[in-house]
This record gives sequence, structure tokens and C-alpha cells, in this order.
Amino acid sequence: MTRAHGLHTHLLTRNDYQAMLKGRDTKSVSDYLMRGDYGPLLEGAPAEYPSALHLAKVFRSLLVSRCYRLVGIAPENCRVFLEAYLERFLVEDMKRILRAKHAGRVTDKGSLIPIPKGYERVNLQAMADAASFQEAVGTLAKTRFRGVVDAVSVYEKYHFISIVEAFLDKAYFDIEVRPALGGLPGRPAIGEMIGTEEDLLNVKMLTDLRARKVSVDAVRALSFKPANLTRGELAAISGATPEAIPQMVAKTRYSSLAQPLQDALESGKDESLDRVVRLEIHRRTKSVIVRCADTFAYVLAYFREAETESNNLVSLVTGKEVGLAEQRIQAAICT
Amino acid sequence: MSVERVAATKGALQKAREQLEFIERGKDVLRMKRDQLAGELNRLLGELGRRSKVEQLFREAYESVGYAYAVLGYDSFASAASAVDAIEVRALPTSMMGVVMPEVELTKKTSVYQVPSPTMMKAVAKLGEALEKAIEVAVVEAKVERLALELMSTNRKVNAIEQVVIPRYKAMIRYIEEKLSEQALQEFFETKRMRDIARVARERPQT
Repeated sequence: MTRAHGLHTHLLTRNDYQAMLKGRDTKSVSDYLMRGDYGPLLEGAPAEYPSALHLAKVFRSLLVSRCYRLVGIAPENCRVFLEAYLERFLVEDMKRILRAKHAGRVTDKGSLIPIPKGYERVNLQAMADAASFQEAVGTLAKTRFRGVVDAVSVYEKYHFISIVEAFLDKAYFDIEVRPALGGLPGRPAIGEMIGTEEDLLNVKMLTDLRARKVSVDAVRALSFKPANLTRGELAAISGATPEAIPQMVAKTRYSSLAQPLQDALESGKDESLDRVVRLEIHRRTKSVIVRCADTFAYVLAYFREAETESNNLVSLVTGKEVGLAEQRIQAAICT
Repeated sequence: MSVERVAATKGALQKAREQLEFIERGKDVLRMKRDQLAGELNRLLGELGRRSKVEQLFREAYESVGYAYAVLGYDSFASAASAVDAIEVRALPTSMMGVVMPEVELTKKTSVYQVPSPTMMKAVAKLGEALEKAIEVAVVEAKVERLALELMSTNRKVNAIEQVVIPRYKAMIRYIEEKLSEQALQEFFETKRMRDIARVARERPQT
């Protein structure tokens, strides 16, 4: 925990983002970051014009190294939980491989998040080398993600990769994270944080799938167990039309999410479901950092902050590369 | 064919008249074709106005894609995009007054539902709409280009027939008619003179 406090001071501040937002291009962002933790990793970047793709890999790489550095020094009971929590990188990699398989494309292994050796609990290589989507999912049959194999029939009915991705997220929380919570110091705060993330991802997934006209029954089968929401609230959200979902959310403890959710659903507005959820999680994590500075929840909050920083930097350099205005990039990041 | 080289015979005159009639009928057909092509071209030119709307759609789609890129990052965006099937089109050539014109049928649209990321859905919806409209405008532009070329060619043919071929045939017919008239007059005088000589010879007392 002490280490997490120390590492937290290395994270970028709002002023850092403001300074980088004013930069002209990815080079100025790269130059700015040379002074901090990113410096050693950025030394290999092209001096003239570092691409957003290259920089994004550097940011992801530092995120993974920051997180797993703490896992290595954590006590046994905490380490199990942290390892389970960090399976989110593995889940993201699995999603990327399955997306490529779904479209019959070859997986770009360079685009996967680099998970340190020993923590790769799924044979990603075998998944990537599978001849078909079904075969790739089949490689999960002997892993803890075997429940995803059941998603194939629903996937085949709708042919949406989002369905399999929802199953992966569900397996991540139900099989990896929740069971690892037992016996953790500071469990209430951590349970609250995990629960909030589950609920928000649930709302995002339900809204997204309902917007894709997936049936109420299929959506309910895909949703996670409600954490901080009641079963009734979750049933009301999953049964509502996409347009009515914000009203249903407004009646829950996540009422502050209703308006941004409404904006995300309106076609004329740029707001996105991904960012709405990210921002809400970030806002709640900030509050944990203040309230639970002396508990193990702080470590989890640090992980989330590090992840937010990584996402923000990726957004920043990508925005600079595609020539977005400063305000538009500002709207894409969470500070 | 040079007028001076034409044989001034009744057969040639008959043939030239028949050819002139045929050419005038051809000219009428070409004029009708020209009018039809011009009408179609005018109709399509109205549709070309949609190009600016398509450009506006692309600008909006670019903004939306840029935002989605920024939210997701390049690798997540590319990964999500890899799950989307490419659109498929089929080109169907059709004929209008002999002009081969393209028709493009969109056989497979991009389904926004295939996009795994909700952030990308709006961008994909806008981009898909812009792409569909762009294909429609491209078809119209290709048609306009081909119709305009054919119209120019038809116009040149009609002008050439009106200004060169028909006047030349008319001149040829006039020339043959004049020649035939001269020949007829000459024959008349020769006959009359022969008749006079014969009459004088008959009336002269035999010695």
C-alpha cells in the first residue's frame, strides 16, 4: 500500500494534461512525457515523428509494468485478488483475437496488451492460431473462461461479437474477480468499487445490446449478477427500450449517469457509452482515493487511475494524430 | 464524294435521292437520340447537387471517426473495426440509347450492430451512410460523364450531317439534275436540228 502511495505521485496531474493538450502534435506529447516514468520507454520512439500507435504501445506497456510490479510485492491474499483483477488485460486480448476471428482476419499480435510471462492463464497463441472463430472459443474450454463456449450458440443466432465479449466480461467478474474478494483487507470498499464497475459495465452492455435489437431474454442471460443494483432495478433496465434505459437508471443509485447516458444514445451528440462509463468509474475512484487512503482499496484505486492515465494518453496522442481540436480531445479524456 | 466526279445519269440521280432520304431519316433519329440524351443529362445534373451533401456527410463522419479514434485509441479502434464485414457491391452495366452506363447495387451493407464498441457505432453509422451516398453520387457522375461524351459525339454527327453531308448531297443532286437538264436540252436541239435537216433534204427538189 505504501508503494501504491509512492507510485500514485508518479501519475500525471490535470496540469500535465492541460500542458500536453496545448502541444502541437504527438512529438510535443512525447517530449513532455520524456521527463517522467515514460522517459526510458520513449527513448526508442522515432525522434522526428512518434506515431500514436507506437506511443500507445508504450503507454500500455508502462501500465502493465506498473500494475504487475505491485502484484509481485503484494502479500499472498492480496496478490490472488490483484492477479484476478489484472486478468482484465487478458480479457481485452481475448476480445481482440476473437474480433479478428469473427471477421476471418489474422490477429495482429503487436496490438495485444503485453502480459508478463507467468500471468498468461489462457493460451493466446493457440487462440490466435485457431482456424475459425468456433475453434478459437473452443481453446477456452479447459480454462476458467469455459462458460464463454456456451455463448457461441447465442452468437451464432445474432452474429454480434458483442455477445461473446459480454460473456467474457461476465466470466471475468463472476469467476475471476468476485471469488478472489474473500478475505481481503478493506473488503467493503473494494467490493463497492468492483460492484460499481460491474453495475456500470452491466448498464453499458445492456444499453448497447438493446440498441442492437438483441432480445430481452438474451440480454438478461448475458447480464452480470447485480452488485449494488437490486434485481428489480436490473430487470427494469434490461427490459426497457434503449431510449427508456436512462430513465430507469435515473431511479437507481447511479442517477448521475442518466443524462450522460441519454446524450450517448442521441445520434446527434458525440458522447459515447464507453466514455460515460469510464468517466463515472474515474469519478468514483477519485472519491475512494480520498476516503480510503489507508486501506487496500487504495491499491485498486491506483490501478484504476493508472489505467485511466493510459487511456487518456492514448486518446490524447490519437486525437493529436488525427488532428482533433483541443476541446474535442479534452472531451475524450477523463481528468 | 466530289460532285464533279459523279456520273450525271438518271440512275446516279435516283441513287443520290435515295441516299439523301436515308441520311435525313438518320439525322432525325440522331436528333431524337440527342434530345433524349440531353433530357437524361439534365435530369442527372440535378442529382449531382447531392455531391455537396455527401461531402458534408463525410466531414461529419470524419469528425465522428476522429472522436471514436481518440476515445478508443488506434489499436482498440482497429481491433473493433476488424470485426466489421466490408461492404460489397455489384456493378450492373445498363444501356441507354446504346450508351453503356453503370449501376451499382450494394449487395452487403455494413451493419452497425456488428461493431463491438458502442463508441464506434455512431461513427460507423455516419460513415456507412456517407459511403452509400458516395456510391450513389459516383454512379450519377459516371453516367453524366458517359452521357456527356455520347452527347458530344451525337451532336458532332448531327452537325456534320446537317452542315456537310446533306448540303453535299443536295449539291450533287442539283448538279446531276442540271447536267441531265442540259443533256436533255442538247438532245432536244440536236433532234430538232436533225429533224430540220431531214425536212430540208426532203423538200429539196431532186435533180
